[in-house]
Amino acid sequence: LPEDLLRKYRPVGPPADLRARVLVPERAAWPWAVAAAALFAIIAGFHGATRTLGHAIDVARPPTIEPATRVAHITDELGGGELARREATLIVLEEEIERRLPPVTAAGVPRQ
Amino acid sequence: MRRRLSILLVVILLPIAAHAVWDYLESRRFFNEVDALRQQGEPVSRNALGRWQGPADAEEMQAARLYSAAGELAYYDWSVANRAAGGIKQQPLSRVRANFEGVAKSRAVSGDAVPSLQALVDHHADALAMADRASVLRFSRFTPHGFDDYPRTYSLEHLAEAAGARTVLLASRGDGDGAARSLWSTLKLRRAHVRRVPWVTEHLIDLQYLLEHSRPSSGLLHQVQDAFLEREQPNATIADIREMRAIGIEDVFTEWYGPRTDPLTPAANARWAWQPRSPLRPWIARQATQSLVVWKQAADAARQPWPAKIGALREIASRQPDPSERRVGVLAFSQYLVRGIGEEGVVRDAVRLVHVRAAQAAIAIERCRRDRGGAAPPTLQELVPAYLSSVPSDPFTGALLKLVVSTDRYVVYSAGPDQKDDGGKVGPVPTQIWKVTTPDVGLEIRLQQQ
Repeated sequence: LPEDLLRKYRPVGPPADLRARVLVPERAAWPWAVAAAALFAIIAGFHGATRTLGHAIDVARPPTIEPATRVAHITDELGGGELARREATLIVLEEEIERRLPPVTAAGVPRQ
Repeated sequence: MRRRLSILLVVILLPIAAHAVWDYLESRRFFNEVDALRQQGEPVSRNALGRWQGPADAEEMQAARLYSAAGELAYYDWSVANRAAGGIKQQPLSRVRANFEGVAKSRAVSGDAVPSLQALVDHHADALAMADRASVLRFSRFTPHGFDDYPRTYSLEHLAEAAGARTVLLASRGDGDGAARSLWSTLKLRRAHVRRVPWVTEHLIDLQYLLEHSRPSSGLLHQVQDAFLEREQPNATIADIREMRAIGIEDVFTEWYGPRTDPLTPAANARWAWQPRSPLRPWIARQATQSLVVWKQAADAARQPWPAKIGALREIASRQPDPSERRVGVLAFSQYLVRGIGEEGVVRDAVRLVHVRAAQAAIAIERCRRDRGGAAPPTLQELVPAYLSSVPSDPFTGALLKLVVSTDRYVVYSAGPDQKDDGGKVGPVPTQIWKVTTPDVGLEIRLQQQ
């Protein structure tokens, strides 16, 4: 009979330590968060400090002369006139093309 | 969940932080070394080398403008016109040099060479005229926007070859004074060259031909002798080392630390400005610091007197790895340069010094011969003080340059890199001085009948 079968079994409760195991309080995240923040501060600080290094090296350049002004200078240097102006235009054009090319090495000598 | 996220963040940030600290420490080491150099008065950038300083006054400015225009014109003739369809066919420099080699070997201008040399002179007539105008002016440097780079120096080199051809042609026609003036102007033109360029020679072939085939006035010879004296640069090697070290320091700074300021690519500058530099930077900084040690050793060696600096630089160069090992990085590049300075550069500087000193001595002998009815003095000491302020020393041995006189020739010479006196076996004047191939180094002049 079902009653007989049921009598064979008796429901038991959960293990006594189940509550403790399941409801353990979550370990704190803040030490890791603090560590992460500290690392972030270290990264920012050291990067910032590195950026300040070497700024005493003077790499300022004089302003670039406009091509038109350069053509005028070279025309003047070549003696003036239409032929000189045409020649100066070609020279400056050649220079601009050369400047826009990636740095090249000629015969193993680095371009400076 | 927040805890796991925090842990993940720490795991990611930890190596980045370690890298940032390493980067800072290596960079600080490098820049501390650079600061120490600067405090010693050493240049650490192109600006400190005076690269962007203009000429001091109007006369120098005018010389700079004339040389610049002459170089621009020669560059235009050499490159642009050559490429233009139907343009003027320019001779390659190699052919011009081949002609000079022929002159140096045979001591004569062959019939085949005359049209070639003349064409070169004619083609560069305007540029040569500008260089001649500049030659009488004081000149120290180009304008900040000027001409101080390799392609342009190459065009001035071409112009100097044309000037050399003019000297030889004038001398071959018996115009000694014209040839002497041409040689003097050529030596002055050399002021406008970047000295470090290794193919620059000292026009000994021109001088040899001038002395053997023409008879310029004593006054003009004296002027040419003084121009050769001005070409003496006994401290060239240390100047090269200081310059290359300064350029290397600036390049490391601008490439790895400085702002991106290429005026031609502002959009790319803006994009790059926010990108972190390569993670390789601490490694680069470490290499740069190590390379400064190598440069310091080279600089200390180069400051020694001749001939001690030759051995010291060779010894340092021998410790650097062979460029064929294909190492990469700043240190490898520095080691390659130091090797070049040590093994080839310092010998080349010494050969150049011997050449300009031998040239002065040869001209002094020629002037002496004029006064003595054609007899060459038996020793160089006899030229002092009337024709030569002192007997020049041999950078290879530290002794004085030697003179051998016979009935038909004389040779002013140095013992050369092997430091062995072979009695003046100098061979033909080389068109390039990359490597010494003769037992001795110097200048031989075959005597003309007075």
